[in-house]
Amino acid sequence: MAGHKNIFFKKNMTRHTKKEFRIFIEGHDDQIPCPGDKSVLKNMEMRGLTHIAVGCRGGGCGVCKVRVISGAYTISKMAVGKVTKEERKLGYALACCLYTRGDLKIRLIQI
Amino acid sequence: MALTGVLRPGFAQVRVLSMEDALVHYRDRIGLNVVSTGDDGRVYMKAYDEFDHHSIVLRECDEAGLDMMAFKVENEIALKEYEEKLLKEGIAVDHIAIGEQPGVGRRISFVAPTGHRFDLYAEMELSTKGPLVKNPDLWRTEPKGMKALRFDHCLLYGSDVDGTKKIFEDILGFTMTECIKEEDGTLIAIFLSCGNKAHDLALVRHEEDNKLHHVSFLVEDWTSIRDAADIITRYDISRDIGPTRHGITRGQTIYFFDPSGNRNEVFSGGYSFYPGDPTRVWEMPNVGKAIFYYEQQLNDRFMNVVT
Repeated sequence: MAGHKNIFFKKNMTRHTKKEFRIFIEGHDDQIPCPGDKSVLKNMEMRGLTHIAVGCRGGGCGVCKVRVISGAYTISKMAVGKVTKEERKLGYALACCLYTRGDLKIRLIQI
Repeated sequence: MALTGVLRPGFAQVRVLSMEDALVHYRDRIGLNVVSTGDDGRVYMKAYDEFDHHSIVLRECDEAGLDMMAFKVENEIALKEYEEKLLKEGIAVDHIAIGEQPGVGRRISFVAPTGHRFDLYAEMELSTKGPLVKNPDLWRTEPKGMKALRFDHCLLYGSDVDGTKKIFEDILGFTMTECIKEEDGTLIAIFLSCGNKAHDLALVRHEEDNKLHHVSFLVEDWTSIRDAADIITRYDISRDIGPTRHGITRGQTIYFFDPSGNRNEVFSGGYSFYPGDPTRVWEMPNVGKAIFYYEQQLNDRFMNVVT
């Protein structure tokens, strides 16, 4: 079973933490620092990293889809057609809607 | 020339993942006025310089994208004529009752070969917040955000561009003002006008049907594009490209995304189109300049990211 843990948040619950975690990308050596209040995609963009394709940054287009292999995280609203309920259970998420709550290991996906 | 038949784009109904976030974007950043909220949660909005009840409808949904784009036609006679012509061409027509949206008369509705739903209507009530008409000041209250003047056009993606073109030209009386063409004559992108604007609807050939590339709003001038860019950075709005200019239409532009990933444009300028003007044609080797006149090259996100 995958070690990912998706902490769903209730509306109005403070969902982001400024605490900094690390992101590991499968097949890459980098350890990328990522504060919990920046989406994984935003954090990558701000650091000039291009591992993940950048699309709309709003959960609508689906080009930044990744799979979380391990670690705790929260997600904001994503289009259901881009990440199905079943996929969400398996750790799939759009990086623009993905917030770390712990160190994350993620797998890149070719869309 | 008198403007007849299809007069102009009327409204677009856009799907958003979060109404709360969408309202901040369309109301506070683009600067639209909220006119009303329906019992089903849809929010009706208009730009400050528009007379009719609304021009943008937001619907909360678990998918982003466009529900439909609607055009206003001259009168009920024209509406009936278009229905007859659509049926004669074998295109199914649905009827949308008066009041399905507040202030809007009956609509006819069809799905074009590119998969997009288009509505036509002849009547919409005037907004009580429309522009002043007696010794008119510029506005009732100062415009907000990007100061959008009006909803202007949509660019849509789908496969059978030729099929949708045929309906808009042959039945609805649009003219292709400009296009991008492959060497073998295949149309990659077309720009259609129903009046004197450089475009009211644009279509790009794309493997997936019924996709939205962007919903566009007119702003006053190039300085307004700069001000929009300032707002985009200040409020960390997802920017696509710009400020820049298009070769096609010559519009000055900036593109960005709403919080659900639907692309928006604010633009100014562009040429006037008159019946009899020849179609401007861009060949594929010049496509970069056609789309982004200054950069002279395309970017993947602009070409491929749609909702």
